[in-house]
Amino acid sequence: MSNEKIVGSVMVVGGGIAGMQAALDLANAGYSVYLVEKSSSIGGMIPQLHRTYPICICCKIDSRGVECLSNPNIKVLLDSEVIEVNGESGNFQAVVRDKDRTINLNAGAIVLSAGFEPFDPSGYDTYAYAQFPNIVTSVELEALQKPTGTNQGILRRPSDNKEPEKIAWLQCVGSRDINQGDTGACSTVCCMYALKEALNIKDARPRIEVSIFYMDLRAHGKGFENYTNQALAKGVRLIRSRVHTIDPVPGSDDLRIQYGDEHGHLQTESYDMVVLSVGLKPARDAVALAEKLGVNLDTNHFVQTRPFEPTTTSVPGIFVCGALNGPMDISNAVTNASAVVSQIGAYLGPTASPSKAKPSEILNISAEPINFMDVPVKKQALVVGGGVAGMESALTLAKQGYPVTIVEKNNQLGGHALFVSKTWQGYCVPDYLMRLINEVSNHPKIEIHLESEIVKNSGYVGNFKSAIRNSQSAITVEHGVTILATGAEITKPTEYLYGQNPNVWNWSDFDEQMINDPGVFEQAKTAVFIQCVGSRENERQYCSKLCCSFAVRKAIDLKTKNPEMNIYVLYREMRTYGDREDIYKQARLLGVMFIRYTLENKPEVCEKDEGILGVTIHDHVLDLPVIIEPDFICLQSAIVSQGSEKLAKLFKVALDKDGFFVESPAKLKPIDAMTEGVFLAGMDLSPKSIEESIAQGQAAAGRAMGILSRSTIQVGGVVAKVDEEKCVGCLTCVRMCPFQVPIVDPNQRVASIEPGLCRGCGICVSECPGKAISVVGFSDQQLIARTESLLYS
Amino acid sequence: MEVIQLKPITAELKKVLKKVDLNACLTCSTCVGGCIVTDCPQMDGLDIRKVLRMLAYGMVDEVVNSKFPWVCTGCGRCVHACPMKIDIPYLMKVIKGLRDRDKVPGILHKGVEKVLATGNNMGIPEPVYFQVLEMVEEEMNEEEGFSGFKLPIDKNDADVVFFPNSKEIAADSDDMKWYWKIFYAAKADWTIPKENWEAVDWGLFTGNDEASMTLARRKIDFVKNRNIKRMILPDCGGGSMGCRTGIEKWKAKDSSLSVDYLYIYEIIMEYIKEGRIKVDKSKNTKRHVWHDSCKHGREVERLFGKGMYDEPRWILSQCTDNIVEMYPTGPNSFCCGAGGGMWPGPYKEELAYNGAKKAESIKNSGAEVVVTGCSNCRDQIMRNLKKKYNLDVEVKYIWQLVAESLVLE
Repeated sequence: MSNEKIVGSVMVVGGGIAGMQAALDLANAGYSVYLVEKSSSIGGMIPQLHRTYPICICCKIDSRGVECLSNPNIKVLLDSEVIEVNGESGNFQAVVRDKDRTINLNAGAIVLSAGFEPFDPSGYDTYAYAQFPNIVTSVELEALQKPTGTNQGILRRPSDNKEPEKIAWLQCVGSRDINQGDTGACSTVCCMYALKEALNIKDARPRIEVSIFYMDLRAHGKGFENYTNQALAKGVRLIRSRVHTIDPVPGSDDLRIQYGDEHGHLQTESYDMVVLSVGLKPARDAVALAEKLGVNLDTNHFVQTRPFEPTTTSVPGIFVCGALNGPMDISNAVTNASAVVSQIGAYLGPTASPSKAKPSEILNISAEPINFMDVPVKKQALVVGGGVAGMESALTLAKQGYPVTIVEKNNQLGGHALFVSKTWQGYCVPDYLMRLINEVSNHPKIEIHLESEIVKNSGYVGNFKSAIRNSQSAITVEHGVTILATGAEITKPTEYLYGQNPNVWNWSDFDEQMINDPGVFEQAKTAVFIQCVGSRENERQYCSKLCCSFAVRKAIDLKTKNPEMNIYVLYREMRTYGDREDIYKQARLLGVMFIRYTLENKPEVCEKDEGILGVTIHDHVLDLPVIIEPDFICLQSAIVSQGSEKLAKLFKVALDKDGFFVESPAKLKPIDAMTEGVFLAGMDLSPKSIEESIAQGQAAAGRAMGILSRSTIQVGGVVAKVDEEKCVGCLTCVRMCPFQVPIVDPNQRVASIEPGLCRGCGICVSECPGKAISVVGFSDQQLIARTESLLYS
Repeated sequence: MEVIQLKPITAELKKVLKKVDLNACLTCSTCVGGCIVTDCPQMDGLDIRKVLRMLAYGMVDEVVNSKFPWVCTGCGRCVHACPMKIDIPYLMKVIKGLRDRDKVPGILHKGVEKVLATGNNMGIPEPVYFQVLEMVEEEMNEEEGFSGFKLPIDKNDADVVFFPNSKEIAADSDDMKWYWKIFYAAKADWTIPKENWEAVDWGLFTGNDEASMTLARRKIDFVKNRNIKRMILPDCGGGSMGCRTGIEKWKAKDSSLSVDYLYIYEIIMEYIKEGRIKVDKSKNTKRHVWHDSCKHGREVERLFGKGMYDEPRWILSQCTDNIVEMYPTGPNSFCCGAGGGMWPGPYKEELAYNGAKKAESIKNSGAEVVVTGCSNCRDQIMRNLKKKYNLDVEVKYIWQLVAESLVLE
């Protein structure tokens, strides 16, 4: 199918989590990969960490590394550096040097993934990190916490090995600081890692007092708000103040912090240890290589990408993923890596055949033969949802020659992006969207079903069958993979006079109006934006993530058009994470007033005579009411799941308590659903910005390539099988299976487990009261025999 | 102040606020945590973050009429750590300048008027000035080793010029002897002006840039007219800061007004290094600590690229082997509390409060002798903080320590 395409190998530079993911996804799709790592082992930053948030994956890194090392399509070059690169997209020649020799290699594409390095806080004379041993960086704290470390997991402070009783974290060290920190950007991950470190310590030793000094708590990701609430409930203290200086306590190794509290009073506290939550800086070597390759960097020295091509650098054929692309967490780094793979797949053909370790290579500990079936893969994809994420994944797969069916419930493609005027960076969304819709609509490999829905799904990875229905007809499609990208809904506010006064807008309507007739707003004298309307309170304990950047963007646009306009943004936490911090600063410099409120002190909106609006809010610094008479108010209302129960059931995908799809519990598979062959992208996972939806759409395609690129797939093997004689159809297995595989036929009253769907986890085996289920090769008898032979040998 | 309503501000002030990027403020409290004025009971609940916030709301009159900018010593510890590097000292100076001159607190504006009219802050007439100088000259001659000392007034072609402070002429005339002894011992070719000799710059303290510029220009003119090689910047922190800023501004306007200048530390170092003076360490066995004056250290570093941290410490190390350090120190050290016009100003309770942190630093250092390089810092520590905070220390000028340690041939 890719006969006319250039074929080639891919060089991945940097063997951290992003680089490994890119290498594995590429290898699985049939590419020969050179994985160049400058240190003597792959794994990157993660092996240095104690645990990762929220589910620890540190231990999984090793197995990923082994997978890379043992994969026949991946050549891992350790202790190696890229010295020189010549050529162009499709035909690069690279010179790589390791300890002893120089290697020349050819690659059709290059992936830069050499990540970040933690900020070195030695430059802060106010925090005297180098002077006092009990001031440590967050990275050093991870090492101190590690069970495999010198203290065997018992946290002891460096100066005297005392177990600390009071620990403080100082946030934004080397982030959001253009003075001693030398960077304006937010490092995105430090709030959560500090919370995680504090909570881990609290869990292990509840009597240890842990306090985090912060400016804005950036808990914007999926599940972050819950995690924060959990930390608070367990006694983690959050103190909103940036600390000026850490003082030594004379005559001891303790440290004193004097800080200005929220009322402007000085508070003094002593700590046994102070942790500096250091930010993420792009790795120096990686930046040097990027510069050598002529790749553009952004103002914060990360590799520059554009929102509509989140992994594409300024040089054709060179891609970037992971924290070198900007500060990001592990999930986003992995997503980024899979997105790169799909972008390479769009123009470069593979040189080898798909290499994934076959299930039959799994260690067989029993004498019983494990039977596999080779089933041909239906080289076709089903994409549910015609928004940005869905279209991006469909187009990426179609460009590689795979037929794609898009099912969209509305009467046009585009989803919510239809009502978005600009990205947070200020890029025009309608132009991009029109291009994308045109390309998707005109692509010969893409079939679009509008005003349609999926009513039935059966089968398993490589061999799904789905029924699509619209008002007139019903058809059935066969597909090897499914991508769910069904988006989310925007709530209508129920407060602040929404629906009662015409000048109170919901943000989506507001932005639509900004596309059609921005003049209405640009003439205003005074504008108010209210954040967190319906988010992070009551039943919705999560952050809608994109609203802060949205309001800041709009404020900038309005202020640029009309500098005389007074604009107030009323917020709870300003979550302009990552590079978004740049636009937050830009807005402040333009004179936009940001006023923080709390749930106990929400803004009050009233209507005076003749419909004139009045807003009263308490200024968080002056402790006085601010009276505003805005011409309009824009409410940033919550983004909610659009009720995906039906689809979730059809495709055996779980929903979280907020109704969003749940990704595979493994943190390293942020795009995979629990059911193999089903991938998730966009806002149906959680609220996110357009560029993140694009990255996820492309990543879903990247993951799907690993299945579609092979001609057959093996099913069976180590899976559960039911002894129909013993089964009484009690439904225990049906209830317990995390993947919703067992079915009990009401007529036959016995359970059946589809070998193509079963993951072989064994939960049903242990739960079955009749001992009617066993996993092939792992029956009780086999395990007993195996144990005995181990004991006696 | 009951409720807040955003107020428009003048275009001129807008320009100033934009220049210092006031709006970049993250309201993070770093400044509050580092400011010596925070929680001062006489401030009616005002702190530096609130002041910045008021300005952001356009409440300029309220800030101009408040005491805060006058109690602020312009020490720059706020901007040193401010993540947005907002130039708060400059902003406070501008705000001071917006106060009607007849409402400038205490004697500060009167001092400015006097210096402009008479050449010194106290309006000391020339005959009195000469009388004092002659008296000190006579006393010097009576001291062992300094007979034959002659005061070189208005000398042409001298290597350096020294500016006295009206406080020294009026009350502390003995304080000048230490300088003079050093000049004498070094056989320096130096001079002292007959008129316009005032070392301090109350224009800087009152936000009166014009006055500040005039004072700097007088000093430049003296150097030019008398063909002096180098100007020793006034020792007073504010005096040196105002003078140096003025010199740089005049130079930018007209390059022919460029003059060479140096700090007193640099000239003493030069004398010691060239062997022109010798000092005896054995005389100073007590524990000494150096007090960093904000306007010789942190603020000079911030505005001109290099602070005077190492130079005084080197001189100290020549005079004694018993040296300790305060914490915090160097660029993060606390202000004595008397800068920015607070010493001559009317706010005595605030002045004592402002020095609390410095007093704590001194106490914690365990020093027996505090060595300073600024007359305001010296007076605040010696005449105010010692008593207020029970500090059992001697306080000395660094030139005093050098003069006392001189080995005369």
